Amino acid sequence: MLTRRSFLQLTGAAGLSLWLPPPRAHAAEISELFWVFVHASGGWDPTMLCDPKGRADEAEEDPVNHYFTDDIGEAGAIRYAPVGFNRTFFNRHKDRLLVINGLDTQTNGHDGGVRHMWSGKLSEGHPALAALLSARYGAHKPLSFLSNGGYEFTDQLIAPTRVGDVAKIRAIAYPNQIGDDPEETFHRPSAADRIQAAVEARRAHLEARFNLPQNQATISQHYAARLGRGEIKRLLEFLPSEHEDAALKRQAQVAVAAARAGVSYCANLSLGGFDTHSDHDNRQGAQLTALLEGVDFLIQEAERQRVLDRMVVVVGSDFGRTASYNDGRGKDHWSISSALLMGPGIRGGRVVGATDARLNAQPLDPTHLTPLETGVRLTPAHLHLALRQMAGLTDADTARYPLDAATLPLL
Amino acid sequence: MRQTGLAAHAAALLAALLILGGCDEETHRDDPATDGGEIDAQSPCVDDLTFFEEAVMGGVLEPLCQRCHRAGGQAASTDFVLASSAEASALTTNFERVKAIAALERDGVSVLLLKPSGQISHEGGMVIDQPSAEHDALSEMIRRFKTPTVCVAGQAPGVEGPASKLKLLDPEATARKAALQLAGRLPTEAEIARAETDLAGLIAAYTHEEAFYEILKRGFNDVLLTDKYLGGNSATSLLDGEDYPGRFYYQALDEETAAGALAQQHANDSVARGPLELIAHVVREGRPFSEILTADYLLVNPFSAPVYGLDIAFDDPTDPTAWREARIPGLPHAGILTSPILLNRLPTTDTNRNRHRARMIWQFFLATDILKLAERPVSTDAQRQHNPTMNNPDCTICHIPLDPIAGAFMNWDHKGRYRPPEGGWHADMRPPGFSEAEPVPGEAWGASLPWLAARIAADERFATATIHLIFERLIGRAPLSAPSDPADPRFEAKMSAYREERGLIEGVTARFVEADLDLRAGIAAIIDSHLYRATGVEGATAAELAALEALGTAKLLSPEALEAKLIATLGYPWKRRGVDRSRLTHKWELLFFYGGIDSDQITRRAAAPDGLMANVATRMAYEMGCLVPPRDFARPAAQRRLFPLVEATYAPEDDNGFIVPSAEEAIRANIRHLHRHLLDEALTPGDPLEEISWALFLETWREGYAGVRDGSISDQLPYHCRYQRDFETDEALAEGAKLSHDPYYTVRAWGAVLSALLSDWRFLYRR
Repeated sequence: MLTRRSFLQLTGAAGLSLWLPPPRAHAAEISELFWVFVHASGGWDPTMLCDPKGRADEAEEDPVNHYFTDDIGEAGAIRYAPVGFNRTFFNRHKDRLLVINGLDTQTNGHDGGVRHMWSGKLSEGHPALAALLSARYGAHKPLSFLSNGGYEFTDQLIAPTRVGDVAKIRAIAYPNQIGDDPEETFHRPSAADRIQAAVEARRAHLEARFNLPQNQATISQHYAARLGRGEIKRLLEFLPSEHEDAALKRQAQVAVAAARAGVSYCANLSLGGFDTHSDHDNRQGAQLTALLEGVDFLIQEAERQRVLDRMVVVVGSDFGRTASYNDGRGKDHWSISSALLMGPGIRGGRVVGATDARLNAQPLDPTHLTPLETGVRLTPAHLHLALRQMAGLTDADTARYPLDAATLPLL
Repeated sequence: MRQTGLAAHAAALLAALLILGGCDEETHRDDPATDGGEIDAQSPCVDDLTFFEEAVMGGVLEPLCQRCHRAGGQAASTDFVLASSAEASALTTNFERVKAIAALERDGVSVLLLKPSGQISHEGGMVIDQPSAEHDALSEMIRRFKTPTVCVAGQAPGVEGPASKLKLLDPEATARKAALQLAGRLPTEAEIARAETDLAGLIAAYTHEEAFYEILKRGFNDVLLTDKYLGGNSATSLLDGEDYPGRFYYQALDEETAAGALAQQHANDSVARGPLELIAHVVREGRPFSEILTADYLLVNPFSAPVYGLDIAFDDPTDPTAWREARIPGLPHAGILTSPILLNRLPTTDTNRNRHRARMIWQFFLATDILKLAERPVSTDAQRQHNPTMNNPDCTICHIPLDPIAGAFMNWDHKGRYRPPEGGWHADMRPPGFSEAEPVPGEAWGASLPWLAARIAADERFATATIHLIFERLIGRAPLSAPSDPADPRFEAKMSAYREERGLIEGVTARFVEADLDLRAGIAAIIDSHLYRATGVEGATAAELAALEALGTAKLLSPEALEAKLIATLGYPWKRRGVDRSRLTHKWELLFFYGGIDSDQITRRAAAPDGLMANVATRMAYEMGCLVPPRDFARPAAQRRLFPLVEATYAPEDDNGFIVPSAEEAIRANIRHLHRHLLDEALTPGDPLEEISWALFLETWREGYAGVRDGSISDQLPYHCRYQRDFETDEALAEGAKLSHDPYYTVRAWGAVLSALLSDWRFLYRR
């Protein structure tokens, strides 16, 4: 079992400002991690979250926010906007949180922003990091990559799993069982075993005959999906009987249960409603509250299910929103965003990256990560390189998906 | 300045293309990129367009020039503006534009070389060195413009290229695949015979069957997602009460009367289905597909006409399939574009100003993904400008094509109501139109959407877009897009695959255009192509295999398609009784677990199976393997779909354990029948695949029959699977028609074989 202590031994005490050796656990421990990628769909506003700006007074023209600068909160090293659930969230989790500000997604288009944030590449073709990790460490798990939306492109490395009504999972987990009585089956268990053996026996014949790459890929998918089908029933053991009403919390329940059952390696959670071109403060504020309450619940549920010490969480969005309000009291797309990270391998209690008063990204000294005019602009590629390194992905794992950025000591 | 890595890539690419031929020897000798290389006279010819795409666009223009030389870029006002690869026909457009620039010379040297190398005034300064791989690529392109390279027959890609290594589905297999996909059934024996001599005629016949139109509507719902409004008052409540005071007329009818019950059953869904029915109507009538946009009518049936306040006499006022063209007074119709249902499905706001609608128009009907235009890195420094959608190049790249079409929707408000804006359209946007160069003329101001529809219908990209839409429905994925990142290690393989597929799609599109945009012709052209029929490959090199990477149409069947296949092959959907909800297609059952959509929150189908889906498929196979054999055996042999060659009394061995040869022969023959019927797998006696099923049958039977004989296993079928009630009516069957007992254990042994075949890749996937 991966422990906080083992990571501290690898990474040094949390909070050290000097760059320490890359926080990479050895392979056996990495394979026990569980990654959760939480996507705020539509483009969130970092200035209402972890990169607050505010306004000096009511007379300020074209303010970034309507709250006052004096009200901006602090939780350790983290400054937060004085709205919604922020105060509770950041104070509760400040020691485990790494905040990255001034993250330049280099786009104001939704699809490109989502892709850049979660694959590290703006242009098409790279899979979600969740898919890379699931293929590398969780290919043997039946629901390796759980997805509730967000960026799901896998480049056929692995299939994402969508979860519908959790109440139906029992019927799916026991496909040969007619009803609730385990003794009542469609086929005798021995016959069911023979059926599966016959299906497997046909594989070589199919592969020899249907040898176009696309056909081979689907044959491979078909048989890979069948692996470990019986393990799905383990998910049932850990699914709470009462399901949460809030969408993100419900997604978190299933994800954590899947982690506890050992049937998944990564999960995408997703919450929409952030594309607030009108009535920004009310709508964005409500969604950010739902987001942080959901992440807070995720952490509590992980603690309850005893998987918190191996859960890595990354929270991000398509991009940010403009410094100015538009005529409809909304905010439009802005390429500068933020990210929140926590979990083993990530030194919490820190803020990396910065923006100026109008949410322009400030370049960073690549060694000390302090603002430097001639430095590097942080992009999702930098974040992904750091995460790949932390996850122990090798050049062989990522050769098909290079990222054009320098490795920075972000984590 | 260019980057070292990019130059290295361009040099390697250029060297490869030059070696591939198409250049005269003199050029080769002078080309530093090919020093030491030998010209292979047998190398395949590289045509000018391919060279332009790979060496010039991919190696020079996209990475070095297009940032400025694009719509909305810093060089947008020059004569040299490149189309984005996200636009349909971008390659040929750019080829012609570059050709025009290349023809301009100073002192005998093309400005295409002089400008980027800084030898004459260039706002962007010097962007390529001389000599360099980029310079060489442009030089070679200029030479080719002057002396085009024509590949002789046999050299052009796609003729002697990778596609020649493909194995194709034979006519029978093609007919089977098309029959299931277009008509939701298996071909008859007569149709299989016809396929050998008249496959095209057979395919055309399938597209005239009623089931085809249902499949067509389902396919286009995956695009338009208007089925979101099925059920309740979801569709009628979208309509404005003042415009349509009769929108809830059906609620006032007595549901105890036949008319009232029918109206309450059909009114809302008839309104919701209006746009999809219009599409089906245009195809049914054999009209140009562009009429889905240009139609000066909407489609109503006896139940939706009163909603719109239309007094129309129908021959059968109780028939929900009696669709007719109609016009709403005062409304300038433009096919599905003016449907309040579609307008509501493409929502807008005061600040969005119809831009989402415009984006969808570009995507659906002009084969252009506007968002891809914005995928180049943007600069936040440039974002701080007054009215960025008009002035900031990072914004204008999308808003130049987007905003005129958004403006053309000006007369339809966020609720889909016809409400021409009293104060005119927004002055801080580009004027309504098809493009900046084609604004809506004054006389069409009140009917801007019919005007726009006519422009779109006349644009050659509409045909491409339509083929893309049906390609995705038939093949199961979107057409490949051109790779955009030359640094991608798979760039060349991806480009090769893209080019191979693009050539095939262009051929299909040409046939669609020749047929005056008859959608049936487009469908037939795809089915007739390698895109649809490629099933395997023989003797291909690794490079050729890469070019064929996307071909091969194996695709996981959607829940609806799998349901249709079950009905076509077994005679039943996946459920125990006709009155039950379908396990596969009902949203309260397993629809979403099997990757289905609800057209609302879940709008993208799962492309690949996961562990849960594999279990759903296994449960389907097990339950159908238990439920269906008794039903089939209960019929006379001649009426059976699955077991026409055996009886339930045909045990493979006698009580002493000796094989009964006649029984074995019949069982094996029926196994081959099942393989062909369910999997389209023609087996000869003794085929290894027959042996797998035979062994499964025999071993299951041996264990089961031994148990029945010693009393450890019941001679009754599981209660759930006994055939005792009529499937459709759920009424008890006559005693002689029931099948509850299985004293020889053959019904259950056949069930095991059936379950194995229903679990197979060949059954669960479309090939």
